Amino acid sequence: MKPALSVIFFTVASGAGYGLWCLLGLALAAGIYPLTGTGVLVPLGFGFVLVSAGLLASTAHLGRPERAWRALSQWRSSWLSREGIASLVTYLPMLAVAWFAFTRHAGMSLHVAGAVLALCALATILCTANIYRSLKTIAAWRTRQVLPLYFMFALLSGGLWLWAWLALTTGLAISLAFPLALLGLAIVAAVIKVDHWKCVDTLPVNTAGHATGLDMLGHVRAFEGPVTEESYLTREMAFVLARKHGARLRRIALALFGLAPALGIAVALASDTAWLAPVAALAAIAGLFVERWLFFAEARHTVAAFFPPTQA
Amino acid sequence: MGLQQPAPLIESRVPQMVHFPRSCLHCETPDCVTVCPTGASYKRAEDGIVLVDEDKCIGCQLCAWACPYGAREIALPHPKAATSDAGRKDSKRGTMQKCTLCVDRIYNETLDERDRQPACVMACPTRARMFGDLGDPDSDVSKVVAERGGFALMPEFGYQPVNRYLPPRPRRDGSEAAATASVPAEEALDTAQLPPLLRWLDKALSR
Repeated sequence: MKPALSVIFFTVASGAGYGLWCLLGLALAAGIYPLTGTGVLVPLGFGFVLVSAGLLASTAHLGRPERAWRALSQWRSSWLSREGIASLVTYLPMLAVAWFAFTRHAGMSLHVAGAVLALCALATILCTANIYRSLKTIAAWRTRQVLPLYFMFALLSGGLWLWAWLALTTGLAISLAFPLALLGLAIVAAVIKVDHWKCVDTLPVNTAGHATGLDMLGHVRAFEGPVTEESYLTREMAFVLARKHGARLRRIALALFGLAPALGIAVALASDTAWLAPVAALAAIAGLFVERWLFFAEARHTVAAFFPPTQA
Repeated sequence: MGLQQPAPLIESRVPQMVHFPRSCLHCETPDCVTVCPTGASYKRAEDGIVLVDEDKCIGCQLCAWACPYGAREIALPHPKAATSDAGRKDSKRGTMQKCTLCVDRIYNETLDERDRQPACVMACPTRARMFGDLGDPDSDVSKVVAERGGFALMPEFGYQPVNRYLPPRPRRDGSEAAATASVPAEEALDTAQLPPLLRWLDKALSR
């Protein structure tokens, strides 16, 4: 599949934003968040920037972005529609949390608003993952690892930003459990992602014989494509560049979203250097950009089998 | 006596060229309709034709991704579309395009009855395409499909495509030996000596 920059940016940035909101919301709901007022508003606002920039970028993928509002109607069958609704609904508890933080209100309503924010953020991530997982034509996206990975990457990248904020304002000593949980998450996500890549590599590739149903005649190969120029289908569905550099890009992604945050957390905690926290967060985001690029570029679409290998 | 294995349709090792037109198969349960977030992609209740409402389509392309048959392509905006009046007014711009089964022809009562067929069926010079009601077991198309073993493409997706493909008929002359004998022994050809056009042709034909 062609990796569209708008969609990659959307899933990475909004994913991080929702992950941040989810963890912040959970901490507020549980009453364990150490800061109030601005201490809540800054990470909340940063999540707002990530989420909104991602959502805006996603409209650049549309042929008619001015009609994006129409996407809210088919929630009964379409995960994209559900995602649109969930993403907008999530702004409501976010605004509630912002209001309570602004007015320094710390009662039950803040706990509830935090819990609702966390739930809505999780629901949006679920919808995003299911947009891809629901496409039967792209086997690489239907594997069992896709859904947990979307959650883990969102929580990891968002969580690192939240930790960076806490590390820079309250210092590293205040909480060990949170960065250690993130460290564990980075390792688990890396292991599951490697498993996903292994799975993708062993998926059967659709053949011309199967696609045309002509394999009963013997070996079928496409003599030439239906058009001599590129077409929408060959550009969009038959993208091959990634498979050439796949192995190297996978190592880069893994080092950035897995190894760098894990090492960053360990070293930061051991040597009490808070500035390593935002570096780890940045590395994770960069690694997820590469990971998401590969997620699209390495995924084979069934329809590619109709085209000769030179075009597919 | 046990059941006999069905014989392969064509027992031939002679290479055979098959033209393979693709179009929308107007599936019974297509995902291109259910993934659509706007309802622009829809299947008509009365005749099952799958259509796109260009006024509602936002061009998210999810339906094209969901189709294993490559039946949909987006109308990409012309580079000058944003600046020219005609480009801005183009109702198709940025929306998904697909086969409509020529809904404007097949119900058109101003046309002669035998002309109420999709344009691809009318245009095919060898009458390789047929149009009719597969829901009616007595229709001509149903009979042809039953007779020649028409098959559905990639049924494992569960979309239940409605169109059927007929397997190629065996060659009329039949004999594989004759066909093989008619291929002359390969002659040495110094392609470097050929003019560029013929060199390209040689390359294309040697694939």
